[in-house]
Amino acid sequence: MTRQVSSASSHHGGSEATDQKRGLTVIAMLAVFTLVEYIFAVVLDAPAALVVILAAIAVVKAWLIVMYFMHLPLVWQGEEA
Amino acid sequence: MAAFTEAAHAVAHEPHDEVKHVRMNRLGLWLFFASDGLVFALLLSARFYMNGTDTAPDVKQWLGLIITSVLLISSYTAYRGETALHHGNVAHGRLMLMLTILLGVGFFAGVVMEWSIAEFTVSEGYGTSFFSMTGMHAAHVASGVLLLFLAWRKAGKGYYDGGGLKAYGVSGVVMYWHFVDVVWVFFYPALYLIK
Repeated sequence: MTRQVSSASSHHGGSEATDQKRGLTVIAMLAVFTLVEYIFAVVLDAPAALVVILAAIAVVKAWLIVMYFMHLPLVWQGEEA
Repeated sequence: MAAFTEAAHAVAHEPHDEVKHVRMNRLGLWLFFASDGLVFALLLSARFYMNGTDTAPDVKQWLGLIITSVLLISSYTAYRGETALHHGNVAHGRLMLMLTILLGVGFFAGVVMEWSIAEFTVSEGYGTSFFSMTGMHAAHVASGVLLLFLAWRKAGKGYYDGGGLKAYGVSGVVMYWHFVDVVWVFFYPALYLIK
């Protein structure tokens, strides 16, 4: 899974099916992280720790979207012709 | 004269020129994200400055989770739409863009519902943060839905036929939609989950 996602930054590099599969992997990870942050918010009764955990999860989620859905690496890698 | 015009036209449409053009557009879009992101960052910091980590106890957790899920799913459908159009699959791309639009409308409706049933007012500390943050974000969602609709229409008229760099217009719109999602990734825990 990690290998599959790590190559996703090359915008639409493979076939349509490959790109769709990458998207599915990313959205699955985002769903899991969202569920985890919700569970932490419900069960954890330490406000300071909760803020740190939720902030860390939010950063990871944002990174996934920026790198794989928004194709940030293309800003410096350039477009494929 | 006609030969010169034809030559100029050919040069302007060289693949290399097109790549450069798209690259500049992409960079410009990211600069816009950086500046717009600062506005949202200010709203987020104001929320903590005014309320600390206090959250209204009566904020509707179930509704927050539902609209967050809707927005995340819409990011996926937007990605699928962009990918399909990039590969020249116009019918599937349009279908996914329309799904994204509907999910965006659903998210907006959820926010409006939250506003209508909220047990706090805009004049209270948390209410000020809540309504200003969700209001600003919802305005971006509304403009995103409008842009997605325009891209959907253009795709129907054949503007993106052939895919590749021709479909960059869709990529730009979809990137904006993802940006709106990224903002919510930070707003959701700040408004609903911390305590």
